[in-house]
Amino acid sequence: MNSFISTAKANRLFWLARYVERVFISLNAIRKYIDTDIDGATNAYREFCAITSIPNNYTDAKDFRKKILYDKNNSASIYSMLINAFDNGIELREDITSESLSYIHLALEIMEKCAAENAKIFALQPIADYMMSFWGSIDENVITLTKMNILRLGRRLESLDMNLRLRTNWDYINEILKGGVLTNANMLSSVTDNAKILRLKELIESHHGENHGEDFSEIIDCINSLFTAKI
Amino acid sequence: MILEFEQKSVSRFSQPVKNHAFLLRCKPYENIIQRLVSFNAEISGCNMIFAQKDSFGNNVIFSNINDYHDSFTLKTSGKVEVLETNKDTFLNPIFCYPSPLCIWDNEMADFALKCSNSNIEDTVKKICNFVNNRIKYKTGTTCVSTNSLDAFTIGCGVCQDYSHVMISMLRSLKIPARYVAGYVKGLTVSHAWTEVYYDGFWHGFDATENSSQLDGYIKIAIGRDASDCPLNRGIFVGNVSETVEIEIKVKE
Amino acid sequence: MDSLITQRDSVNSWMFRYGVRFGIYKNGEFKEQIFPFDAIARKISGREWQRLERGLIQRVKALNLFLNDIYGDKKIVKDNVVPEDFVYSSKGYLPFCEGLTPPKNVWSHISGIDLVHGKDDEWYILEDNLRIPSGASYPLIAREITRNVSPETFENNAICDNRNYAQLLKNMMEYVKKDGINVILTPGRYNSAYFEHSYFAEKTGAILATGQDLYVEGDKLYYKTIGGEKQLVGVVYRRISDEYLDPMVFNSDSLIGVPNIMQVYKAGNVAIVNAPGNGVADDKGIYYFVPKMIKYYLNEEPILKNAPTYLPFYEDDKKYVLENLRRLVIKDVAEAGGYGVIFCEKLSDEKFNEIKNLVISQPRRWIAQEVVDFKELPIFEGDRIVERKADLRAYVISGEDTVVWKCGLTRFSRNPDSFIVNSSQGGGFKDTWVMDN
Repeated sequence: MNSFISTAKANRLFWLARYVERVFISLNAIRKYIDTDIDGATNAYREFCAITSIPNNYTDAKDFRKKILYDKNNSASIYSMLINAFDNGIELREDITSESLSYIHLALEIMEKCAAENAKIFALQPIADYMMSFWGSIDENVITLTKMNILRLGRRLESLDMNLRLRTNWDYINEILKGGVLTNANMLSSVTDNAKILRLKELIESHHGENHGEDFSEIIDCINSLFTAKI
Repeated sequence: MILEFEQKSVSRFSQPVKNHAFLLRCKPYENIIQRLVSFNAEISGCNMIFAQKDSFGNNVIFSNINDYHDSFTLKTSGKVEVLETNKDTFLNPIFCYPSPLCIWDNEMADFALKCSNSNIEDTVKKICNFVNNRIKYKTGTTCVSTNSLDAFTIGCGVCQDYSHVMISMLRSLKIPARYVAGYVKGLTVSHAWTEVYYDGFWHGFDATENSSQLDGYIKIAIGRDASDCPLNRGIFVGNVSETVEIEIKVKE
Repeated sequence: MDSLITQRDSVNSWMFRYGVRFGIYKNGEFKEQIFPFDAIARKISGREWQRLERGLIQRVKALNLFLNDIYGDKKIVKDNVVPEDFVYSSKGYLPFCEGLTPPKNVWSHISGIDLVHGKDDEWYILEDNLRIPSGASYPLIAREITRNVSPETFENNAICDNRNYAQLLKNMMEYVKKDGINVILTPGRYNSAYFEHSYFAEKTGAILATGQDLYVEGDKLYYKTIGGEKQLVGVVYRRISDEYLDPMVFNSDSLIGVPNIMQVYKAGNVAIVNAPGNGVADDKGIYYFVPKMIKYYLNEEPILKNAPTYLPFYEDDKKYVLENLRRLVIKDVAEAGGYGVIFCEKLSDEKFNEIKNLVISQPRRWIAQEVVDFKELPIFEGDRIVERKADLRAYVISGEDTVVWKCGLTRFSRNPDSFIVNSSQGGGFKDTWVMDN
């Protein structure tokens, strides 16, 4: 494995990590909302759309279940997230190894099958498993520190973003920030914006306890702009 | 004869561009009949210029400008000495065969055959005259990538097309011919003419002017056809429109 | 072999897992397809292979010498062994390379030589590919998978290991390279062989780069890394054809190349694998002269035969071709792969006369060949075994030594009536077992 990395590849590593993490967290979250919907006309999916800032183009809970999972043309769907992960991963074979990439291939294969059958969400469990296997393989095979740090930074920032939206407790969010984001960002000074990192730290550390869905637009802005390697 | 020249070309982009790589043929050809006495080149926004010779012996200069810029100015000047006594005798067989922009069909070959006789010089003159009559000088009817067959068919073009048609007709008779790009006294833009090999060396002919008296001509580059020796090539990042102004002065 | 055959579905699912695919454009849309793998391997005995090996090395050595001569002294042309016409009007001839010597004098680093096994048990060379021969990754990964799926097959058969291909590539790159890192240059993921580009990058440890990742400064080539650091590049295994390699010298519309890379090459500061200009030695017209080259440069008798070929350019051959045209194959010298190949036997009278007139009016454009009746190999179609035409692409690597990879790409046609096995025209592949005995 070579240790050099271009800006374009750095960008792809970052987004590969974000999409893989997004698939994993979204799958779990959507499962919860679908579960809530079972108990009656709560239309919990509307809340999901609102908190994750995706347009609510769904006619009802059934329509949501189908499109949020399987609609390739819906950029918020798990299917299109997985395609985005794949599109980034396919150009990184020699950086992440064929083995790591194979888990994305396998997940896509399951997705294609399930989409054709409009399968229930539990049938997508192997996808969540493959996403975890992907991270295991990355840990095992990616030995170049810079590449690893970019992947970890992408993963943790995505986790921060999703947990923020999903109203996870602020103390947990603070842990993600300290444990993952800051450590990795500090080791990537050439491709991160230090001012944004400091601001992100400041904003998150000012919150504790319950997350009531405060206005976190500035935090999201920091998350999306602190990594500076753009194609 | 000593000829002095000055050349200035300015490209303006509608918006700034970056990562601009270029390769220029703006330094005169050097051989035993054309000696370069002095040469100077200046490129705006570029302090490192690299030089090399291509496989035809043409001088090329190349470099890149990575920062954003909205214009590109090339200024050159120099002096060449054109020598009467020694003749360029080197013949590469590639000048006998079709090339990307010099191709012909039976009709062109038949016209060439009608001009031919046992005297090569006379044959070449007849072909030069034929091409001069056959092609009407008209800008905008052809472009840099127009081949000789197309130019011949539509019957008009510019100096490049005259040269290509002449070269193709000569090659159809197995007479070696090559393309020359350069500057000419009295013209403010670059010009193209033809060199033909017989009697042991290369002879210049200008089909656009129907002339073989090429006084005041400075040879910049040669090739099988124009595609071998473009005077400038550039590529940059930016979706822009580009306008180019060129001014050339040649004096004795 | 039986256990491998019963496991053939698992082989294909592992292929899928690794993304073993090739891209094609259908109706202007890019699609990736599985390159179907057939589990019944082609076996070549150790003795037979030794002969092939010697013949292939001999041929590739002669072709390398030819390229060196053509862009240099041109002795073979001056001595009238190869007519000037076939060199200078070849599309693959690049005047740019006149007088150039590539690093370590190697032109065709990776040669893909296509052969067929005739029913007379003789191997015939069909075509030399000296530009960007692709396909080696398929049998390479297939072997990795089949060994895994059916280890007993490999325990019970003495099959030469083929997994050194990446090492062969790497050794060659290390031998020819100048100062700097190793790069594989790809046109990008929408190229039909992108899988192979990225797989070889992974296996050789080279960087996979697109044209935009590389840049020229002065007469040096660099790879752009994050943070503005630049890495000097010493060798480029490019998977971009000559005409797109450098928009400053070749096709000026090319967006996938590297501007001014040819100036770096000319200055001798980077090795380009394979060398630009090789097209002059692998076109269908030059093919006719390869046996003559072997005699001319090596003073040896050719070990491997060409398919019997005629050049209408020569009057005697033209006469023979016109008299026997109905049973011959006609190939357009300017076309590559399976394109421009015409089996005259199958033509309507009208079309036949059209071709005949073309041979008369443009003799230089064509070669004519006897139809080689080559062996069929068994393949699976569903659960049935059927016989199909197959060829073999052998890979010859030229670095410090010239070596033949102990494997190859065996391609077969889907269509029972077809002689054309090119992967761009459908069909699948098999592993090729070189037996160690």
